[in-house]
Amino acid sequence: MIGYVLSLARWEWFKQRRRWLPWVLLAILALIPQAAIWGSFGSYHFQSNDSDRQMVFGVSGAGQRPIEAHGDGRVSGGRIGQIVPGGSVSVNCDDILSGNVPELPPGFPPEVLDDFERECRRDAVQNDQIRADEYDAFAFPASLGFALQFAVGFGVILLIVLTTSVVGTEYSWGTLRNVLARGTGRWQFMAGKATLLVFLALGGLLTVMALTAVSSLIAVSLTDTPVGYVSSTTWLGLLESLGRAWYGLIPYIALAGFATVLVGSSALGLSLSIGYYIGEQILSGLMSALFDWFDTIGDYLLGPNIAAWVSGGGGNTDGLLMGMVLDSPPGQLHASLVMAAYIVGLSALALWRFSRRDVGGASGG
Amino acid sequence: MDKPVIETRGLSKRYGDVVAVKDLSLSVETGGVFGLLGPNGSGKTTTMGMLLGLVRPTAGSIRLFNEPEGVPREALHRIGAIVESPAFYPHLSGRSNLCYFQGILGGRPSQVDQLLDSVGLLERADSRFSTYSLGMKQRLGVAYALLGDPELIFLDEPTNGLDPAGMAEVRDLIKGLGTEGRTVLLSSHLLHEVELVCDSVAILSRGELIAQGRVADLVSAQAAIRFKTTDDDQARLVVSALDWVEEVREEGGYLLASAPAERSHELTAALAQHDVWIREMAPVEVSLERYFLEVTGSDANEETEGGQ
Repeated sequence: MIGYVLSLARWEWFKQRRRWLPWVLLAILALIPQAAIWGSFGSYHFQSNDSDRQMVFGVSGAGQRPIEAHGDGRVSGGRIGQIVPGGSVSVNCDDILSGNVPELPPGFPPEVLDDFERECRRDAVQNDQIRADEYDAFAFPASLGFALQFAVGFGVILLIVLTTSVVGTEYSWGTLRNVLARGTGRWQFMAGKATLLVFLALGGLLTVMALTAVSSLIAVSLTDTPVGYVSSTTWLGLLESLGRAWYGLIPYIALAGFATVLVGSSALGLSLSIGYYIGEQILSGLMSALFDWFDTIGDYLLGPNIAAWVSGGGGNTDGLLMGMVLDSPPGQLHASLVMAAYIVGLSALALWRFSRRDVGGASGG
Repeated sequence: MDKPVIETRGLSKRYGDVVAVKDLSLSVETGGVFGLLGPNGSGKTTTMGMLLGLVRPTAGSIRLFNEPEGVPREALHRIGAIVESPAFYPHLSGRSNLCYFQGILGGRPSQVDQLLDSVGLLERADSRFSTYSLGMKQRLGVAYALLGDPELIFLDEPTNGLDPAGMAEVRDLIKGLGTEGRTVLLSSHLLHEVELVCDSVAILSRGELIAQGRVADLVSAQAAIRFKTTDDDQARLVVSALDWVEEVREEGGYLLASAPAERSHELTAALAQHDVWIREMAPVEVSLERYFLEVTGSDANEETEGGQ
């Protein structure tokens, strides 16, 4: 039986690979993360890592009092206007850290530079971290995880479009009748489609990773590695991210498949699926803000669980699933079980509906 | 006598308040071409849909190939069918469409070109289905129905959109299939077409079976001799007394005797024995169309084409 379903999936691919739609959707899926990768590269490459911190050490005309003017606008010992012309020395972090210590005006003990140097060193460490993070976003292999998160966010919509088309066109073209009239099992036929879609989702993610790898290698070769850079990603972690992203997409195949079978039309199925996807987020956000009791219900909705799952339990899933941010995300086991329940439930309902439905001619819708 | 390849009992399909098929008990014997005849909306396609498991009957039973009741997938593997207008994947070529269906049926890909050739589509086999004319689509539909060498073939209006030459070709093809030991269930509202290719027919009207039998039997039952005599009153009495004449009636100033044309000389002799002499005599042209119109009533006349 499994062999038969796999055979149907193979022949489904025979059909689908000759259509424009899967390839156009794949191109969109693959290119959007590249824009993010190259955006990070641009941000890193064209931004100076020099500290903008500087200080002016001056003396006032009247009492020869020392005045310190910090780069952030703080002034101590007097006012800027009181500094006599030619009676000041401007110092920046680059000078200090490179050992190019200037001679201070009279009245300033050399120790005042120590504090400034400490600030400069702290800045340097922070800057290196920021630059390392920016570098991480486009450097291989950490970029792959970054691209995967991006791909899931957009991939959900694209996969819904593909699923509703793969299922719904059988109704609109009237071809379902030809398939079933020759003894192809109803649930086997749908299972074949679902199998193909699940593997296409994996194929899409792998394509994103492959293209991102190429982009990353090019980007890395065009710029310098930040000081002390260590990749945040391990290969095992990457494999886990791929698995999470893949599993995170499957409930939406079930949702879109169910919606399309329910209404027997690509367009209506797409509207229902996208409507649910967006509506769930808007409504759950609104209801959570208004009612505390809704948090419990929210733990069993599709979006929050997928967002929590794909983020790996990190909580902040900004950028994922239309920017859904979770204050208290469901646990990983909980999320995976809820997702499994949605997959099984929606698939069972779709197959039940499909097996009982009369099959007519082309609907054109 | 062969066991029926299709047998239905009390088959019904209702869509809400609309009864599409009502209490249909049909029997189709193995071999030959069986016509399912009826005006548009008479329930032909719904009946085919139920026989193919596409439409769930509201009531009644179906038996295919003399197997237990129901429409099992194993039975459908032995059936080739094209129901309603031919529907295929528009982005695929004719060849790819057949390869796909051949693939899911688990058949040999080599059969595809042979079938395309048999329906005259080999030259356009690599063109997309969406570029095909209606006639070409019909031909592809026939080729699809023949995939996998089925024992039972359902063809729903297979000559729609074909030019006269194409119709003749498809008719010959269907006749040929019927003589190869297969059974063809041909649904059509073209009476002339059905009369030309079918051995037996069932006539549906408003979802009900109103007649079923061999075409020759149904048509011969309508055979009549039209005549005018020197004494029509006496002639009516004489002819009515003949045991091979079912009925004598007057129609348009003529007498109409229900009898086969080949017995007209006997009728003439019988009248002559009673000094009644024939003024005019002609066999009434009998056809399935005439029979159909008679049994379905005048409404069928509006919806059914009598021929070419």
